[in-house]
Amino acid sequence: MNETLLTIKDLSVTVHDGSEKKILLNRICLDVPSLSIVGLVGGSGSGKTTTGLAVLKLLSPALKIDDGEIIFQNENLLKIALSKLQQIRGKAISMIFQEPLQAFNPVFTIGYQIEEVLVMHTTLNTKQRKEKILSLLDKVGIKDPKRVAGNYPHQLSGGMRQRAMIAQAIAVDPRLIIADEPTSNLDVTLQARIMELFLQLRDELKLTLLLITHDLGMVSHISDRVAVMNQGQIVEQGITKEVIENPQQEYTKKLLGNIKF
Amino acid sequence: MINNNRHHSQFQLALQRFRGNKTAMACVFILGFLYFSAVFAEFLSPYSYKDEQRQYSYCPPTPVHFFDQGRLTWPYVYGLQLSFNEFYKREYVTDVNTKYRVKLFASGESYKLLGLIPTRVHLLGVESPGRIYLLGADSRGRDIFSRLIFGGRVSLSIGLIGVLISFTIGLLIGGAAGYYGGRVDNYLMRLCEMVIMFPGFYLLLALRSAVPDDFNSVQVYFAIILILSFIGWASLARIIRGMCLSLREREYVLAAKSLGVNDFHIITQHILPHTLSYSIFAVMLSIPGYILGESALSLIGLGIQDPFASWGNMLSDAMSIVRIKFAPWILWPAFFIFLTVICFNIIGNVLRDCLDPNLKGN
Repeated sequence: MNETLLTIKDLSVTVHDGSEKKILLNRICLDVPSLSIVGLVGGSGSGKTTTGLAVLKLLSPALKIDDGEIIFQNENLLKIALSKLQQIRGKAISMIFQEPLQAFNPVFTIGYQIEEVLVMHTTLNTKQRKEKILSLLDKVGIKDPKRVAGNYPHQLSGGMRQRAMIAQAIAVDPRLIIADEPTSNLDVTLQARIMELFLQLRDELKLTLLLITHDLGMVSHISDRVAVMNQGQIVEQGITKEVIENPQQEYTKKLLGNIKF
Repeated sequence: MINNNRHHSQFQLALQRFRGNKTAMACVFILGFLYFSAVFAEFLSPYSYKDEQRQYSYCPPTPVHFFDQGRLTWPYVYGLQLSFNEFYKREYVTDVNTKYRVKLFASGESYKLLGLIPTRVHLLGVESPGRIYLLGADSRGRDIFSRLIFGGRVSLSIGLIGVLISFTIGLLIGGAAGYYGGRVDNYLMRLCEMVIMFPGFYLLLALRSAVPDDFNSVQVYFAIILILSFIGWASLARIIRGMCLSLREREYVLAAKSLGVNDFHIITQHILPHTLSYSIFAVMLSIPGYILGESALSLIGLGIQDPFASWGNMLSDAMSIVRIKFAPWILWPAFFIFLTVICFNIIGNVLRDCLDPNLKGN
């Protein structure tokens, strides 16, 4: 197995609702080895998105990280300064969201929004950026990069938007991509194509992927490891094949049962 | 295919609706004309703003004649002779023996067009010693028409620059308050309330008195702009803050954060543009406030100082009923203030209607 790229240790997140304290994440431990695809699976409200956002400290201010460590390349992301964290966001770790239509700003073109990342993290000049944008869009399988770069998010189809979103996420060659339900709004054939794209990008760009989804079936096809979450806890984790073939927990069995009809 | 069959953006639709409104378009043309004349003031005015001829004090508008003994001729004006009647009131008697042709592109005082091109050409003029007072003269015999054009330069630009400054402040402070929330929001909003709390005009006077009195005209001009924008930003900041509170929850803001975009960039690029439709008409509706503010200050003698012209300080001549009675033409600046204010208000209101997406159908 490769070295570990991201380690989440004993992560606890709570929300203070008046005087009441509600635990959202309860002592999460998760290892993401380099160059692997790790699936984080669970039902709605199990805390998978919260985990993903916590890695980049993007939780809403109401949610408090009480305890734990998030270690990425030997640095505790929870302890470093914001300016340094901003260097990591997008550059070393980037995120892909479920709804690209909402994750893109409707008033700017796709090209502009990819360029924004390049401006923030690279020293490329205008011409180089334009070329980079086209090559990125090409890399994620968009056939007409020039047109798409000039389009607004609402002018693209769902699959195209998700590809554009991926292009934005890989713009400055991050090590880790956290994909939050990247395919949940797409139809089955598109899901498969996007998953293929992820596999291909991992090999090409030496990416590591943390795939957050409720679809255990999909994860089982492409992920190396899988962690199953329920009610703020990781109930089971291990190598995908082992977990699928021999689930230890009732909850995992239930999830598997759902996909086996 | 998409490019051939482009649908119109929200803004284009609004613009289309705006163009359809005749009143608003008329206002745009009037304002365009006023701003144009302010830019080319030296060229359009027959005299300079400080060209005084004491013997023509309160000279009534000189009529331009087109007919000479029943025959159409090149426009001309008669010479004027000052005399006093039995009550020692000034009277200007037209001297029918002296005629001065109104010349187009006459040469007059030298100036630099747009601050660059040195020239002596004025659009209109009569040969010296004749004087042409299209809209009459003020107490020192200066041409009110010329001074109106020069005064428009001050009064009209104060609105634009003032709004520019106060909206930059308002948008940034409102944006920061809304985006960060919590303590930042609390402090910034209390600051806003402190500014709003004072009655505007008295705060204006107090701040004006804080400005050193040995300032020259240009410094006073900028001091007035700063004072006016200092008063103006707060109410905008409050509204923008409210809009940002909801805008910051959008997923693209989270996405931008996840990509390492810094806060300033997120506020200015991802949040504030979405308040644009509000800001545009708020700008239009607040410009009159600046024009009136400058006029009020100048009117009571605290603004632009003689001999420099602004519509406000020209009006200070008209503060006595006797003068208005004998020389009603000194009220012309009031008409232009009125015209400008009403134009901005109409444009602002029509823009608000046009930018309202709920009105799409018509």
